Amino acid sequence: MPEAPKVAVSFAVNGEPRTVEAYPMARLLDILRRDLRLTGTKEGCGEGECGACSVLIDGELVNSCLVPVAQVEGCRITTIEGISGETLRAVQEAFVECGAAQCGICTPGMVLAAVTLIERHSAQPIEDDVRNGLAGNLCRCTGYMRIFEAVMQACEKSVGAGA
Amino acid sequence: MVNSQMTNYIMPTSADLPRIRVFFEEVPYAHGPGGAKGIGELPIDGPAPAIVNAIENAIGVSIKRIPVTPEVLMEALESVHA
Repeated sequence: MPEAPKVAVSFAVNGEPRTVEAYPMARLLDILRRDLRLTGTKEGCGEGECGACSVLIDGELVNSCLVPVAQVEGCRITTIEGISGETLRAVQEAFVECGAAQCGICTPGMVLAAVTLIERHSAQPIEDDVRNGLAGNLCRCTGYMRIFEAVMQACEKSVGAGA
Repeated sequence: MVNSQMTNYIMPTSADLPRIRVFFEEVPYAHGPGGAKGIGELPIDGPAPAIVNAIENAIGVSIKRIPVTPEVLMEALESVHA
């Protein structure tokens, strides 16, 4: 069967409208990293198990290695590059303060998962909420404890004030 | 390899791990400078000494620093054979 031809796909990335010419089944991960040069999103396992490639599609946390680019036509995508403005988010500050990163490959995905879980909790989450919220993001360096501390610390500072 | 994917190479997620507290038990090491002994990332400690030892074994010149660039190697050889 001949390969499907390239198609134009339009979507918003971090608030900017973008159009790419791509094979419909190209991984969103590759489009972000190679075509759009947004290399903050990492490839870990490439099979949807590790969460390193996490991005937000219309506010939903997804593994971008499992998303064909054709699926994001008209969607709003947020990558780690778009998660902070001039200054780091509270959760990013907390990662720095707590030393919650070692090799750093899981960190962009962890931050996006943390932002998502904080936004979904109107009250201060307990550690189990944090553990479950980050359970789709694997980290082989830290043993997770400092990541929990960072997220809990960010929550204390930012519940009610946005993550 | 039976577990070449993260799907079946099961590793602990954040939901699985017990709380871990880390303590440093200081026991001076007789063979280290000031009693020190390396911890963490141990696999990077061995290869460089092994490689410079292999170079010494091959050419008879002991080199005490890395990287062993061709220039470093040439200078070492010239200092011996000059």
